[in-house]
Amino acid sequence: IAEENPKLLQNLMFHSSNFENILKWDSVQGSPADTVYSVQYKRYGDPKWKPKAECQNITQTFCNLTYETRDTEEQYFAKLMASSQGHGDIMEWRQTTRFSACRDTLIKPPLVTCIPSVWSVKLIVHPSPTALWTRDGHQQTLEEIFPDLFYRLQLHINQTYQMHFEGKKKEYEFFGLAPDTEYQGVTMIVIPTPFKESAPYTCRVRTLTDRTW
Amino acid sequence: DEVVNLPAPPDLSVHSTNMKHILTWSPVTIPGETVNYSVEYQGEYERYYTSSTWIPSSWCSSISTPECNVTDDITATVAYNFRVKATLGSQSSSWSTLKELFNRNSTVLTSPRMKISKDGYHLIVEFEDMGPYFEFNVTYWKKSPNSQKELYKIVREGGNLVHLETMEAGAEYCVKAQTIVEVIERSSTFNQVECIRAQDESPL
Amino acid sequence: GLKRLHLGSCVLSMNFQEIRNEFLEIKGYVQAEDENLDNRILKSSEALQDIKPTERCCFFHHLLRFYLDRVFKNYQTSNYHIRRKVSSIANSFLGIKRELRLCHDHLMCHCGEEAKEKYTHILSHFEELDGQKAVVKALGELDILLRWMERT
Repeated sequence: IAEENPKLLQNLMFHSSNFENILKWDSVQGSPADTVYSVQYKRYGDPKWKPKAECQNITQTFCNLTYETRDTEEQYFAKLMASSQGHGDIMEWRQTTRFSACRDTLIKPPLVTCIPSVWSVKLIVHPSPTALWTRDGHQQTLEEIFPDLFYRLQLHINQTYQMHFEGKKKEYEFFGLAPDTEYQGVTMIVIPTPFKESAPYTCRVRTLTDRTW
Repeated sequence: DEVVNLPAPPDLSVHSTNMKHILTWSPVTIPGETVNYSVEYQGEYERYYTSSTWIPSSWCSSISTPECNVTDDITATVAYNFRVKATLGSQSSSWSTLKELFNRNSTVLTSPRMKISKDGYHLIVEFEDMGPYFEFNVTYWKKSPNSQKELYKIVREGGNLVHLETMEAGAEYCVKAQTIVEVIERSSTFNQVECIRAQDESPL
Repeated sequence: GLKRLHLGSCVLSMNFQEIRNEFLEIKGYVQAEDENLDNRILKSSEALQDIKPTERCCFFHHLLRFYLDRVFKNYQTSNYHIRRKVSSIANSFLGIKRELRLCHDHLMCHCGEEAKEKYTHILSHFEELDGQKAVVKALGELDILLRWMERT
């Protein structure tokens, strides 16, 4: 649906990170205050649209469709109806492009603990939770969903060069550093299939003073 | 316009180094006139499945220089053909085509330019940025009279200074490297070995 | 980079990232052309990764030939950028098909009932739709095929 001169709503799209899939849209400047929105969704290839019960005649401009679009291997559409009674009964609807959580979800930066010592810095990566749950109530992590996931770590040394590590284990230690010196640790999640990279997690850390003298 | 017999541009060939593919030909010269050229390409698919259709090159429709960077047109490891015609006003020459089809897996891979340096006991290596297709396979070892244990590291991209090893005080380390291009499953020859000595133990 | 495609005893290496990047450039355009959201050609019930390993190579060979013979060549567009991308993907598929020939020559590409039956289903989904609409839908579903390939 081309968005020529929208009256009530625009920029309808899925915003997804770590499989939390939120449908978001914007109202149009100057649109009536009594505008309400109703959301429907459907799986690509199914004939029927289904209403999202909690997002009927709402005034907020977002709707959480994580549960409804939780099959990461399927593709979905969402449709939004906007209406305003107070101003001549305007009605408008928009539809998203085809959404596939597996392909479209962004990967959040990893959770990392940075531990300085005198001559080294240790980075510990923690599993990344997602918005997906198994039937028996277990919250899935990215590591469980993508078995070939690995981490890429860099330690930036006075903005000129970097030490590198890459692997699947959780703990990495950069040795041979100078005491009482600031370093920057950068950690990313890399998923080879389908290829995804997270935004980096960055920590600034100072090695401890050498008190042996 | 005065009718001029425009010859097809001769000597069409592709020169490819490090996955950068340049199509060249000899210029068609008409005294006092500027001749333009248009380039089209076809992959193996176009030759066998779509009765030899041609596709206009990404960057070279009506250009005046007798060469065209066709790197963005060649994005699969199959045999490609190119054709070029000369145009002058409303007149066009016939098309000339490659004598031999071109496959990107024949690109010339040069050994990488490399700089090694040190920061304290850190051995640091830097490669030129050769583009997204290139990784660097680095082999390095500590020089010692009796054994020479080689170690390996893959540097994913050029253009950065990368820590290779934390050296032992006073020891000499040597490094050599080659490029790896996965999409054509080939690598370059190794470059010249370079060595560097770590600083001695700092005095007490 | 390069990924291994496991099709029973036939193992291919292919560059996924290049094909995926080329498709990402046309996905929005081609999928927007497909206004029929109620039908799908590559259905989950016929997913490549769910076919028994011994028949996966044959089924995949059928799918490759389907795209090479009936989709890429029949997709009409006046947009040269889109045409270049489709050509790039088609030529990459041709490279894969050549590798698959080696498996076929080494008798690793057995065609059994399951492969034939499931390919017939896909063909019927395709042929139920009108010519150019079917071609547009099949092209827009390339990401489904790529995902199946990734999951083998």
